[in-house]
Amino acid sequence: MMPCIHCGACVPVCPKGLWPNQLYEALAQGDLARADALGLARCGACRACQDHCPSTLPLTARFREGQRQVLRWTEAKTRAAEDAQQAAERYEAREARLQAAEAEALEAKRQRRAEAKRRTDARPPADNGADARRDAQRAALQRAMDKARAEGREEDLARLTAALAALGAAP
Amino acid sequence: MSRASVPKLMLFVLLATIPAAILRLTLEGPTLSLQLLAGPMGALAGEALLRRSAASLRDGSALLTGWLLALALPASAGAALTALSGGLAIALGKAPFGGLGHNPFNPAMVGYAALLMLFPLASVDGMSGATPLAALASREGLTIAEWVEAQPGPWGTGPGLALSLAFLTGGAALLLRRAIPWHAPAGFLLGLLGAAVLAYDGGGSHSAGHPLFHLFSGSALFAAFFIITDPVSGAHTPPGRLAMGVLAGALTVLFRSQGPFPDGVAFAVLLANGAGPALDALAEGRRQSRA
Ligand code: SF4
Ligand code: SF4
Repeated sequence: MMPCIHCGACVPVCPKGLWPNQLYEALAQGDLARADALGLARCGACRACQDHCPSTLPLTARFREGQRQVLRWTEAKTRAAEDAQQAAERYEAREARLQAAEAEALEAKRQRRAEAKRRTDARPPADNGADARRDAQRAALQRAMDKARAEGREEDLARLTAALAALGAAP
Repeated sequence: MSRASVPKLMLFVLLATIPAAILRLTLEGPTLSLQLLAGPMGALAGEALLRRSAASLRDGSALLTGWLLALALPASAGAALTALSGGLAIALGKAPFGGLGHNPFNPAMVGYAALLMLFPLASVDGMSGATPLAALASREGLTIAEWVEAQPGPWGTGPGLALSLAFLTGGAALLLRRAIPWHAPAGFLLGLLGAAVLAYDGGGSHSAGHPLFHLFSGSALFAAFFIITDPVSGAHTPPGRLAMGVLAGALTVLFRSQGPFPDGVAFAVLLANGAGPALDALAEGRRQSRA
């Protein structure tokens, strides 16, 4: 076995019209794409090229092996493409999920704010309640003082008067 | 041929040059035999020194390179320079690229060109000993017709024509036995004649020379069947080889009429070899888009 001297003896004898010397070179260089473009798939393994090669190169066996390599290569290519497709889909789904969650959180926050605002608006002013309570206490004290005066309980009347003064004058 | 081995193939090509070699020996004297021995010896010595493997000596490629080189050089080169040229052919043109099967340029033409640059006077005219080309290059304003009249015989006859026919015979044998693909020789002859016809102006004083003159002088037919046909160098696809041949033939006419050397075959072949890989890529690309 010697190197290919590109004598061309293999070219006219190939029934498929291939260029075995170029095919062999492409495979030796590991260039599967070039071998594929040169029509490797059409080689029928008839051995005509090999029988005419003065360098006695194992052409046919190499072409068979090359065809298997190209098959594996195309399969790997399809698999890689599918993997990439799946990864892209996973990524897009996750992005969509994250965006939806974010939008939901924003909406909930907005609603909580609106609710709080509604409650604050509905509540009466804080000192209204205190005034009312003091008015009621004053009225009660007045009633108690009237009763104490009518029954002549002088100490009670003085204590009630002081309490009424502590509450402050009516507005 | 159904099945040859590499050494047999090389030997067959060498045998095809025997008629031309015998013709040169009878025309130029027995001292030429020293040169014809020195070429292969120089190339084999280069191969032995640089490749260091017995197998590479036995494959016959270095032997053939040195032999073709000795045939391409004029007798004025002498045995010593021919041996040197053979060594340079291997040292510059073959060994650095990885030996047999890997040289992008024709090693014999690398050796020829190297010698031409080192010793321009020794290898003035291509083989054939044919002064016509040198005379054409330096005919100093004579028209082709005037110049032809000044020659000892009509152009294209005499030793140059006989030698060309001897190479044609050997080349025909190679083609008939299918020892070499036909594409490169066909392209070379097409390119040479095409360019010569295009450049021919009827023989004026600036004429590039009659097309038949180009075909039968210098080393045109030698190059067409024994040099551009080197399977290893240059293009490796049938269309690539055809195109490389056309390029080399056309460049030969251009270099002969415009270049500084009388015969431009060596430089034309080297340049066309250099275009080989690109031509192959083109050919493969075209195939690919057709499939
Ligand atoms: S026959 Fe063998 S050495 Fe010749 S070109 Fe084809 S593969 Fe190369
Ligand atoms: S083995 Fe394949 S490449 Fe070789 S001649 Fe047969 S078909 Fe052509």
